[in-house]
Amino acid sequence: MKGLILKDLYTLRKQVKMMILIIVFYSFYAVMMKSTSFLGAMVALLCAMQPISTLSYDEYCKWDRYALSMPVSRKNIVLGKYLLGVILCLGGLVIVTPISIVIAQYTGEMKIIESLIMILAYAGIAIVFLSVVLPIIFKFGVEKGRMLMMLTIFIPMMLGFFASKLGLQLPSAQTLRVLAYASPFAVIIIFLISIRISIGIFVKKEF
Amino acid sequence: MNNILEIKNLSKNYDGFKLRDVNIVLPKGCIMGFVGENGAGKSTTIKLILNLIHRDNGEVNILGLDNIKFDKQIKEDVGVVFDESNFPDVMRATDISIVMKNIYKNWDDAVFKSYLEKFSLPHNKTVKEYSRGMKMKLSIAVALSHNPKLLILDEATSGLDPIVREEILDVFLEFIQNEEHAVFISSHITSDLEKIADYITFIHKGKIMFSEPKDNLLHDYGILKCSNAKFESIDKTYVIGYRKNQFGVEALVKRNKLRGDYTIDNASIEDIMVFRIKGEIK
Repeated sequence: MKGLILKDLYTLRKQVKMMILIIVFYSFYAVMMKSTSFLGAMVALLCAMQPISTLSYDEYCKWDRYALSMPVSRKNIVLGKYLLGVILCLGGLVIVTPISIVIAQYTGEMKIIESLIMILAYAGIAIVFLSVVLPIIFKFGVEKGRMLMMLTIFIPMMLGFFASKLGLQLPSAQTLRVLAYASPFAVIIIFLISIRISIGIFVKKEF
Repeated sequence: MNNILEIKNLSKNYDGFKLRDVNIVLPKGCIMGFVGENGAGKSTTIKLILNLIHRDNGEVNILGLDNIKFDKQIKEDVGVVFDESNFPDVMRATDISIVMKNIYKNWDDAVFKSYLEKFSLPHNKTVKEYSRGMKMKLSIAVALSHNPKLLILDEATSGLDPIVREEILDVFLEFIQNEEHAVFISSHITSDLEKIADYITFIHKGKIMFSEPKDNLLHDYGILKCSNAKFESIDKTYVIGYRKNQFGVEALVKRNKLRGDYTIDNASIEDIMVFRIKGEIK
């Protein structure tokens, strides 16, 4: 599996350079606008997209059938993609956290602890996004998966929009706090279920 | 255990295509050429050997082990080259070496480097910058650098120029010098197989037509050229297939069975294929 992840990282080498440029750009932007939220969101989005971009490369050069002709199990191919997502998100956190702390310190936009929670929330969203999208892509391929991916983003947005239109009352601070504490566990459970589903799909696949 | 690859009654059903009861035996120290027209079932067979698709029936043993139960163990000893390079084109040879070191237990960097040298492949260019021939050579270098016992090649020489093909065929012949090794190579380019193969296996519409030592084939079959009248007088049990044209008849015949004064030329693998598929048979 280490070999597979290394191969993905080599494939992403150019994108990683891009990411560093984007982070530098948005860091300046964050300082100018005295707001770190955009930086966190951009990095989370970039990290979540990279495993999908490697899958698109794989599809293009028929990597999977080649990898399976080596001593590599189907399960490890799937796990490798999830692990890549986690590694990238952790990498994103390592880079964004100090930047946000510094910015929060100097701009006083929000407390440091608040900005850290926000960054963690973004990372959580990135992981949930991957958990939803990866099984779809393993099942339908990157091209068709992309369409379905749009839906997975679009539907929650629409739901949120309608909820606000209907004038639903916001949940109480108490419930929100409970939800906030429960969310890391929810993210982990969604992630694990997603892995199970993807392995189930990939094991049956024919190349 | 003298056979590196044994396939027994292998079957796979698709809509509109069936691979039926494929039986193949590849002994150690041999090269087997796997021929057949497009869509005859060559790639399907190779995918089944590699456990890339699920078989409906039959058995595949590699080095005496079942290819599904011992998948990982077997693949340490198998080198595979498909009809195109399967590396993301932003990778370089040096990256590939590091990746493979983490995939194969027996990955040998020195061997890989020597093949890169031999094929004059630049270390630091990306695969994108390689020509098609170079990409294939890179894939072959990878397939040979983990000390494999069996090489499986699916149309690995198609689309390459004669010089590159010659170079690659020489590498296979060198590989086979070790008596523990074997090569299973599918190709449309039958002349390549004529040069290097010990066995020829011919698949047609999902069925194996024959799987025999090449020398037997070339020895047994011949191309008979004669007039229509003379052809009528021949015992047709020795005729595999024939083609009539304005000058007379060309027929694929069992040359040693035919007694009498006939002009019989050597048949090539291609002749044998074409006459068996296209020739009219009585």
